[in-house]
Amino acid sequence: MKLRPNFILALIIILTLSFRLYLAFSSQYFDSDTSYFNARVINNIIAEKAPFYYDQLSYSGREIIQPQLFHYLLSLFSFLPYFMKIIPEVFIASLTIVIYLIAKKITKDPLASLIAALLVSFSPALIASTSNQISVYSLAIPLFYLMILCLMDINSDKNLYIFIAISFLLPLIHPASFLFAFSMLFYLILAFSEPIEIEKKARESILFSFFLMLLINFIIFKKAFLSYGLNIIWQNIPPQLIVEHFGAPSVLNSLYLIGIIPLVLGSLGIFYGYFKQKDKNLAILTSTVLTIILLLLLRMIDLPTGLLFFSISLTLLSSIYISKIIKYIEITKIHKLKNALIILGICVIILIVIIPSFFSKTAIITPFEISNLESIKESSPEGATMMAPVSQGNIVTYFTNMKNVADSNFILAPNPEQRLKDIKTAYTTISESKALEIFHKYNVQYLFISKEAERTYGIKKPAYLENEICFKQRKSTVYEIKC
Amino acid sequence: MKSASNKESPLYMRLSVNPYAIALLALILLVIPALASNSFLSGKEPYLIQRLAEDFNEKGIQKTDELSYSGRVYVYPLGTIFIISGVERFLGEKAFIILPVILGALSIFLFYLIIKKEFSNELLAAISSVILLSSPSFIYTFSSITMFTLPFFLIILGFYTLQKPGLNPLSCIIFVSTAFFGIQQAVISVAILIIMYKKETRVYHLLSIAAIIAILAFFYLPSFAQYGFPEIPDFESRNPLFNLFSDLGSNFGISLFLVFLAFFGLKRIWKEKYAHLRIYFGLLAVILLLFIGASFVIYSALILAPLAAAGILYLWSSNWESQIIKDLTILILILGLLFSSVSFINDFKNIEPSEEKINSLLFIKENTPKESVVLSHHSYGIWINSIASRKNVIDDYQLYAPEINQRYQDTQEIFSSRNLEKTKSLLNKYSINYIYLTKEMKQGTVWQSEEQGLLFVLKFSNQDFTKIYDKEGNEVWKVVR
Repeated sequence: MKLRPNFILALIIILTLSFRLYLAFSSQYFDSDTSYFNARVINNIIAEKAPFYYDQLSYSGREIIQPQLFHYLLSLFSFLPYFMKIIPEVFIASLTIVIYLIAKKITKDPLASLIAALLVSFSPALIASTSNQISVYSLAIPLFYLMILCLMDINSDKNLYIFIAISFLLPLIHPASFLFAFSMLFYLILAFSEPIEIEKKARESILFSFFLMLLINFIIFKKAFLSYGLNIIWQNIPPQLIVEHFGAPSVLNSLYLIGIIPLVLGSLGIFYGYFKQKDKNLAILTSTVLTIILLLLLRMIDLPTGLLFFSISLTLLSSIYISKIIKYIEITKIHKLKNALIILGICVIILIVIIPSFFSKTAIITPFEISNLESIKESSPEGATMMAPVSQGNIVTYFTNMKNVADSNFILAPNPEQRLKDIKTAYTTISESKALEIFHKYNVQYLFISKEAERTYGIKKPAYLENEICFKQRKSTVYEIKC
Repeated sequence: MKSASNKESPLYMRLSVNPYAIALLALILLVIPALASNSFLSGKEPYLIQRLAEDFNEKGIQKTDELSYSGRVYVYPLGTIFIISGVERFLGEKAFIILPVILGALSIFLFYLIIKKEFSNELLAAISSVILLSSPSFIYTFSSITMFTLPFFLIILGFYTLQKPGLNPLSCIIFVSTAFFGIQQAVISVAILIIMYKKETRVYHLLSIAAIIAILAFFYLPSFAQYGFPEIPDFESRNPLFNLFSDLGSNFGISLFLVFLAFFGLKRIWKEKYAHLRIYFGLLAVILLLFIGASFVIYSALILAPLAAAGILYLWSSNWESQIIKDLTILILILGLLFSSVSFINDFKNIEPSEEKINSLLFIKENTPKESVVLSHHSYGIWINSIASRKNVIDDYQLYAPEINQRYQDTQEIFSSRNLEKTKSLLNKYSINYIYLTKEMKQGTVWQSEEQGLLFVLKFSNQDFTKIYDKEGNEVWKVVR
C-alpha cells in the first residue's frame, strides 16, 4: 500500500508535536531564562489588559521595548491549562507544513519535501532555541518562511493577501522581520546581477514589505534608535557578553546544531540552484542564506539567531540534492532497493539529527533551586531585591516576584556593564565589606547561589557568607543579607 | 491578474493650492516645538547666539571670545549675531522664537513659488513645500534661532530672486551676504550660483562668487595666517550616519523615508535625462558636501523635498501589478515621513538643557568668581559660557579652537585617571577652578561606574576638592588650591 504524502506529512507533524510536547512536559519548568520574562509579560497582559511598557522588577525598574503581539496571542489561550507550554509547541510544529510546501515548490518531489520537513522539525538548532521555551521564534519562524512561500507564488491573490498580512504582523512579533527585509533586498540584487526573472508583483511586494517593516520597527524601537542609533544591532549587550552573542561560532558546535546532512547537501543545493539552475525560488532561499552569512560575519546578528535561520534555510536547500539522490537511485540498478534505502536514510537522519536534537537542550536551573526560590517568595518583603547571575535574572524575578539587579534584556537597561561587573565582584570577592557595598548600592536583600553562578564565576560559595551575623542562609541556595 | 492601472497617461488631478495656506501651516507647525519644549530655549545654538548677541551689544565686534576654551579667536559668523542683537533690542528674548518662526513661514512660501516656477507644477510645489516643512532639519532650523536660520532664509530668497530676470542684481547681493553667516552658507551659495549659471547673467554670478570669496578671505585669512588650517577634531566617535538621519538620533537630520521617496523621484526624472541636469548636479553637490560636514544635511532637504514630491507623484501615476500593494506602499512612505516629523517634535520636550541643568548652571553663575574656569564634558561647554557665564575648557564650537585635540585628550585623561597628582597637574594646566558633573556623564557619557577615574579622585580627595552643589544628579566641585 502506497502511503500518500499528505498522510506522511500529518504523521511527521504528529511526531514532531508529540516529541516537542514530551520534551516540554518532561520538566515542570522552562528551559530558558527569557521564557520567564515572556511569561511575566503574558501574565501582565492577562492581568492589566495592556502592553508591558515598564517593568518594576527588572533592573529594579526599567522601560521595556519589545514587540508584544506574540504575548497577546498567547494570552488569548489563557483559558487552556499549560497554555504557555502547549501553544508555542503548536506554533512551531506548523513550521513542518510550511517547510514541506516550500520544498515541494522547489523540488516538485513529495518524498524529498517530506525528508526536508522531517529534518527541519528535528533540527538541533530549532530544538535548542524553541523546545520547552516560551520563545517568540516559535511564531516568528513559521511566519518568516510562510512569507517566503507566499512570495514564491505571489501571483495568487490568496498568497498576496497572506503576504501583506504577515508583513504587518511579523515586525510586531520579532525584529527578525529585518532579516526578511534585508534578505529580500539581497534577492533583488542577486536577481539583477544574474539573469533571473522576477515577476513585477514580487518586486513590488518586496519593496512594500521592506518599507513597512522598517517603519514598524522604527516606531517600536524609536527610543532605542535615538539612544543607540545603528548600535541597536548589538542590543546594548555589555562588552563582557558581546563575544558570547556575536563572536565567531565554534566549528564543532555549529556542525552539531546545523547537522551534517543539511550542511553538506544544503551547500550543494546552493551551488546547483544558484549557479546552474538559476531558479528564482532557489534564489530566494540562497539570498536568505547569504544574507545570514554576511550578517554573521559583520557581527550584525547574534549567533544563536543566525545559526537557527541558517540551519532551516540550508535544510530547505538540501531538499534539492535529496531529490536528485532519490531520482538517481530510481534510474540505477539498485532502484528495487529504493524503499530500503529510504528507510536507511531515515535511520541515518534519526542518528545524526534527531538524537542530537534530544540532547541539544540544556537546563538553565535545577528544580531544587526553583523550589528554594518559590519558598523564599512567601516570606520575603514586598519590593525586595535578589542578586543572581545575569543569565538567571528573569528566572529569579519570576519565581520570587523580587527585583533583580540585572538580566538578559539589555535594551534601555540602566548601566548593564557596570551591573555585570558588580555582580561578578559580589560573587567572587573575598572582602565582605566590598560585597556589602555592592549589596547596599543595589539595595539587595537576597543572594542566589546557584549551579549557574558556580559555573559562571568559578566559585562554590563566596567566603564572606561564613559570617552568619550578616548573611543568613534561608535556603541552601538563598542567603539573606542582614547587615 | 489584471494590472492595477491600464492608463498610459499619468493621473490627472485638479488641485488649486493656496501658498498662503501652506505658510500658515508652517507658522503653526513651527510654534509647536517651542510650546512642547521644557525650557524657553532648547539646545545649544540659541544660547550661544544669545550670549554672542548680548556681547555684541555691549562690546561691539571683538577679536577674541574670552569664555569659550578660556579664550579663543572670534570666528563666529557675524551676520546672525549682528541681526539678532538688533532684533533682540526690540523684541527681547521673544526674538529667539518669533523671528525663526516668521522666517520659516516665509521660507516655505518662497520655496513653493520657486518649485512652481521651476517645474510649472502647482501640485509638485505644494507637496514639496509640505515635505520640506515637515522635515526634521527644517523644523530644527526654524523653531528656534540657530546659525542656519537666517542664512537658510536668505538662500531661499536669493534663489527666488535669481528666477526673476529683473532681480538678478538683488539675488547676487543676497547670495553675497550669506558669506557673513559662515563658511557653510557661503559654500552653498557658491554651489547654487554655479549650478544656476546662465550665460546672460554670468557677470553677476562671477562677481557674486568673487565677492563671497573676498568676504570669506577677509574674515578667515587673518586666522589662517596666524594659525594655519584649523585643527580637525579626531575624537568624534559617533557614527556619521547618526548626524544625517533624524530617525537615528540626529538633532538636525533628514528622514530615511525622504531619501527613499527622493530615490523614486530621481528614477522618474532620469527618464528625461538631460532636462534636469541642475538637479543631478545639485544632488551631487549635496552628497559631496555631506562628506565634508554633516551639518550640510540641513540644506539637503531643499533638493530632496522636490525629488521626494516627484517620487510620490511618480509612484501614484505609475502602473503597478497590484493596486493594494501600490496604495499601501505610498501610504507607508508618507507615514514614514510623518513619523519622523512627529517623533522629532515629540522629542523636543526632552531636549536639553532641562530645568535642573539650568538651575545648576545658574548656581555656578551666582556662586563662583567671574574669572573662574569650569571643566565639564565638551557637550556642556556652550551652556557653561552662556548660562553660567563662565569660561570653559572645551566645547562643541570647534572651528579654530585652540589645540582642540590636545584639550580633548587632556580632559579625557582627567576624567579617566585615578592618579591625584596627574589630575591636579592637568587641572592646573588649564587653571580649572570648578568641575561640573551631570547625571548623564555619570551614567555613560563619561563614566560607567561610580568610582571610575575622576569620580574616585573626587570622592577620596577631600582636601583637594569640595562639593558645593549636588541636586538631581548634577554636581559642582570646587578645586581647592
